[in-house]
Amino acid sequence: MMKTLIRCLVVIFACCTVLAFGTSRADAAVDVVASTPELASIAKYVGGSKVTVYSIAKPDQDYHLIEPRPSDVSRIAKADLVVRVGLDLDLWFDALLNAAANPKVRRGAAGYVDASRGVDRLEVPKGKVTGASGDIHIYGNPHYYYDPQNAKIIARNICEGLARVSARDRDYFEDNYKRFVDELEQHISKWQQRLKPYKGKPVVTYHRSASYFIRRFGLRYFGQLEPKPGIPPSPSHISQLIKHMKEENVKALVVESIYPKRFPDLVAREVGIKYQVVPYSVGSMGTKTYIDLIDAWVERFAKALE
Amino acid sequence: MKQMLLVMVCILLAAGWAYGDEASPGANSEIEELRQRIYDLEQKIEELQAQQAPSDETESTSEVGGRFQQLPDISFILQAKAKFTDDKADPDRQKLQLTEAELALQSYVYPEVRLDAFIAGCPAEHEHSHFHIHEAYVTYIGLKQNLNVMIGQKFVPFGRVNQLHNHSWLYARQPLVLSNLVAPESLAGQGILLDYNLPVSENLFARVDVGFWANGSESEQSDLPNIMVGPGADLTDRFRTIRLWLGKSVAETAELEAGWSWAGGRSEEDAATLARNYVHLRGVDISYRRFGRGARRLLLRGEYVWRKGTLDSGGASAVGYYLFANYRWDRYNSIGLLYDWSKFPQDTFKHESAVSFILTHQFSEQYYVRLQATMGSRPNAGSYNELWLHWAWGIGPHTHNLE
Repeated sequence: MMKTLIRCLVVIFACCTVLAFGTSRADAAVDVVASTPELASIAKYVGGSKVTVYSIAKPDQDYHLIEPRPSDVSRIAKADLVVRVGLDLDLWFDALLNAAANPKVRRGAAGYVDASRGVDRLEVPKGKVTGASGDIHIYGNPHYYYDPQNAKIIARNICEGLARVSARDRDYFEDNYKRFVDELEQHISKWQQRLKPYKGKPVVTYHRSASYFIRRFGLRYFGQLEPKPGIPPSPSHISQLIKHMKEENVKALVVESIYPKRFPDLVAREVGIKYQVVPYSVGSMGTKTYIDLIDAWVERFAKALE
Repeated sequence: MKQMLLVMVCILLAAGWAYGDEASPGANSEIEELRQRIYDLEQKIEELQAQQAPSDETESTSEVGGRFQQLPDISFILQAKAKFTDDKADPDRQKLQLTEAELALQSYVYPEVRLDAFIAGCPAEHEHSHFHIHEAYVTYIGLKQNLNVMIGQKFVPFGRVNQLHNHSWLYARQPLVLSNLVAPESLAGQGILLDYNLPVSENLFARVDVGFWANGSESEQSDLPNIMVGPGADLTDRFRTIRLWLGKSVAETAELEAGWSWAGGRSEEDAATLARNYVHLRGVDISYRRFGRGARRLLLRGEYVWRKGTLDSGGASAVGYYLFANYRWDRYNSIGLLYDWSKFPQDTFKHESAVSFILTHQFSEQYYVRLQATMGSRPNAGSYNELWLHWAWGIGPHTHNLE
């Protein structure tokens, strides 16, 4: 038996020696692994040419339901910096971090960034959270990245993380951060102008993912197609929603691109409106950057409210 | 005079109509204004609450100093199965039974030292529903770069799915090859496991798991004379395991995995004969996953297992395999197709095979219902048909290692 064991080990290590190619990177770029494409896009802005960025979640994948892949473990095992959404949205990221056994990026290490740090959280549950509340997040609504003001906080967190792991490039990251914030400021005032006429107007979405965006631009949440977070729309909830939308003359229905269109179609038909679809991620519906994403959101919300 | 009165009435009606017409927008604008004020106040409240709330996600949102902050993550998962079969000798026939209740306690005991304990009871199998330790182990995360070490009782890394808890299975009934040749549920042992991620190229995952174990899972006897059941690995004394697990991203949203596993060891001495059964298990597995928009996912998986025992199979190899496909088209629904085929260690000339169609509806992350229709053929009982209804309900935060 011992012989077999030794033979097996020899075979494994021989295979692995053959496989162990390309372990050293050609350049000394900081290896960043982000949990979502939005964080990856912001990390690219801040890190510029000094970083390589990889996103675990791909565009238009439901971030609540990501299945960690073994190849993602190898990315994290070699990462210098990881950036996660936090607030329990990307809980699957912990399984990857643990499996990767990379002390540089473990929780609390220099290479670990929780992008939610410093964000003013909305909808933090005050009472008891049970299954009756749906798939609720105990630290509050985790979709803070749809608010461009929060993107500044995310960028700040990433900038500090990058400076920790590559101190000699601190100035470079700071400059990129400032440029990103300036660019964002310009867009924010443009976006504010675009949505100004609709201040206080009610909006319905599929999932409660637009809370931060809606607050930022002075809109008003009227309801969601999901009766509770993560719970599929039910006929009774939808009929109630249609009734209330008609009573309150609510015309804006915005659906995130990953959700099925059956219920939005029904609601739009019954209420007599046309709904708008917004990209769920950077990379979906033709968006390439974080600013493209918010641009698309603003435009689609404006169209829905027109 | 009449005409005069008629004119007056008309004027009054017209004035009333005009006033009403004017009043409506006024009222509407007042409503809008009030709504706006409510909205502004709500915003102000949210801002003030956000300022009050701690900004660090690791801080608690509840009152400080409570004992609850020291509690581990506690979760409880309950499973019930109803089995309908045309095999009239089956004692579980046409019954709805509580098949498992699992209590999980999970937390860190020290920085980078994590404890996971899963206590399970099977009321359907044990009259007095005694609970036992399913798994209880400590993980030293990143003890060295790329190395995790686990100590305790654990489902051993043999094959692709042996480490999955049964509530994470994508079927109601374990593939025959695994229950006949590996373990009735999952092969578990007490010992130490070293997980080492080999430093290979960027998008290739290569991990070696080496485990040294004792007190492996006991084999299961069939309740029925006409149903032959494999004894599993029967590694009830000391045994070792090695697994090589490779994963490669073959497209942006697709992953190909391959694995090779080996387990070898012995059973405890037979009380009557004092003989031991020395068993060798080998397995290969391959998986392909492709992810699509939202929650869409296609999974294709196959495993092949060889088992050789010195006593029970007289040195002959019992083999078996399964092929499995699963498609999840949205976050709530998935379908699966499972074909399994397995020989029996105690009689390597006989085999059982089955094909199953599986439908799962996921109500939430921890609540699903599954329907599985199985058509199979047993060596001594001929063909059979089974219909399984499987429910799982869970409460509390429950996490697993990389699956």
